[in-house]
Formats: sequence, C-alpha cells, structure tokens
Amino acid sequence: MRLEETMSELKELLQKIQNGDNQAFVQLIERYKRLVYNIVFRMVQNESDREDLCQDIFIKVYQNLGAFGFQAKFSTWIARIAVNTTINHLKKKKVPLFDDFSKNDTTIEDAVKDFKTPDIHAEELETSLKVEAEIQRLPVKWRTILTLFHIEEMSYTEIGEILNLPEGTVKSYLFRARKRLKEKLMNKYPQEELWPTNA
Amino acid sequence: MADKRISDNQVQAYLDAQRSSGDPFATNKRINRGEARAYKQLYEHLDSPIQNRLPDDFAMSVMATIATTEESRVTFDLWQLLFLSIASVAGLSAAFFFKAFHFILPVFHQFRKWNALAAFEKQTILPDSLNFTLLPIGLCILFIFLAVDFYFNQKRSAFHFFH
Repeated sequence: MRLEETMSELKELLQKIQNGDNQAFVQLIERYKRLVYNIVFRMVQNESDREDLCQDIFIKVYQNLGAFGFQAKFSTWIARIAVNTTINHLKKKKVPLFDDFSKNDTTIEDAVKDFKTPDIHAEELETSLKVEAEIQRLPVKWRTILTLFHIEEMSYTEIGEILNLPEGTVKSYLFRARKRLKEKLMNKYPQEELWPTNA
Repeated sequence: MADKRISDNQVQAYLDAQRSSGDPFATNKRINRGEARAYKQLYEHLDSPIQNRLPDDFAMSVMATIATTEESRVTFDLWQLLFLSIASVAGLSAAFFFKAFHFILPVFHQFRKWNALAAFEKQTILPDSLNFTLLPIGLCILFIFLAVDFYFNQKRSAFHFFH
C-alpha cells in the first residue's frame, strides 16, 4: 500500500504542527503509523518491543521535524528514522543484522502470535504462518527490503536511501531473499500442501 | 516451451514487472510453471498487508509522551539558564579579579569614569605571569561548555527552531 504524498498537503500539515497544532501531529501519526509498524514488525520479533519502538520513532520524528528539508519524500524520511532507530535497538539487544537466522527456532507457533486474523481462511493462514516463519529467519536487512518493496511498494532507489545501500545491493538482496524463501519452503513442504494448484 | 528453465532471477524480474497486471503465464510460456507458481504464491504472501496491531489510542499515547518530554526539557532549560548565569558571573568576576582586562586598560584610561573599573587590576593575588594565561584557559573552558550545551540542546529539540 503506497503512501501518496502531495507536497502542498504535507507542507500545510507540517505548518500546522509548527504552529503548535497537536491535532495535526496526531493526523501525521495516523497517516504514517502503518508504514512505521510494517518496518518494525519485520525487523523486531519481540511483540512487546514493537509498540515502544513505534512510539520512540514518532517522538524522534517530532523532535527532528525541523531538519526535514523536503529534499526527499516524507515517507522515505520517516522510514529512514524508523530503520535507524530499530537498528540501534537491535544493536543494543545484540541481534546480528546481517546474519542468517536459518538455525533459529522461529516456529510456526511463534508466528501464530502475530497472525491472529479471524477472517482469513484456515489453509491460507497455515501457508501464511509457514512463509512468515521463514521470513523471520532471513537476515534483518533482507526482511526490511522485502517489506519496503512488497508492502510499501517502494523503488530500489528509495529503499537504498532508507537503508543507505546502493541500488544494486538492494536489488541483489531482494532477489536472494525471495530465492531463499522459495527454496526453503519448497524443500520443507510439498508444493501442493503449501500452494494448492487451484489457489 | 512450458518446461524450458530460465534462471530464478529472470523469473523474479519478470514477476516484478507483472506485479500489478494479470496472469504472467499467459504471455511468457518459457517460464517453468512449477517455479513460477511457487514465486507467484510467494509474491501474493509478500504483498499482503501486515495486520496493524498498534492500539487505537496509539497517537494519543505518543502525544502524552511528547508532552512529558517537553515538560522535563523546559525544567532542564531553567537549570541550564541558572548554570549559565552563575558561570557567566563567576567567569566575569574571575576575569576582573585576575586583571583579565589589563590589555585594554589604556582604553579605559581615556575615559575618567572607567578609572574605578581599572582599579581591579590591583586586586590580583596571583603572580603576574599567571594572570594572562588564566584568561584564555577560562575562555576555552567556557567555550567548550557552551559548545557541548548547544550540541545537546540542538539534538534534543531541533523542532524548537520552528518556534
């Protein structure tokens, strides 16, 4: 789901915040909280840390709004703050950023906690859990790239700006992440069980 | 040919280009159907939104935290102001006391009303050689203090440049 930003609308909103309109900042949070949560969700596995981190990110956004110079898209700017804050959090927790978590014991049960969606079909849910468990075993930056590309529909350039990586590296990580996911899933589960042909 | 294999990267690049359009198999028959189907299903999962689990009052709780932070910042600013005032008064007193303005005394002497001020030069308790080394050291310390204070203050409340 791509966040569409019109410059005039954004400027107006920021101007209101500058003038001390708290409601305008609430509006800004409502607008960007999904983006922030999506990033944090894929980067951090501990559910209890996620909300606190989202809060820290928005506080940083508030404190640094003056530094936003309209050179980049606002969503890219917020995403960058979200990624950097989360990386700092993971470093404090000594979570390796580039390591493969293949040997980790992220089980389907772990993933279930995050996917209690009542309206989803049982088979789809099971597949989602399997895929999600495999995603959580990928290196942190690969997971972030998957989220930004597939959910936020960002370009390689935008992702590169957010993660401070060259465009080619972003593309390479993205392809490798999806290949790894496909291989892991196909090796672990029969394809019919995972993705029925009539799906 | 349906079973002719092409690389993983080619399949992915093709699917990336086809993400928003219809069935990729209809136009490219060279893709291995099994692999492509696996990727297609994987893409569907990756594209599906993550359930947002932030509470409904999330924005309000952020605002409440910001208000608390701002409050403590204002209190801190008052302390800062007090420390800066004390430091300035102490610094100026020391400067006068140690004949810090000795080098501009000739200027003072041009105006009779400054004579009282110039009398401070007689109050020194330190050897003459030390008098003039204290001033740059003191100024350096004051400058470092102000620079550190400015750095942290700016980091903490860059937003306040708005106001």
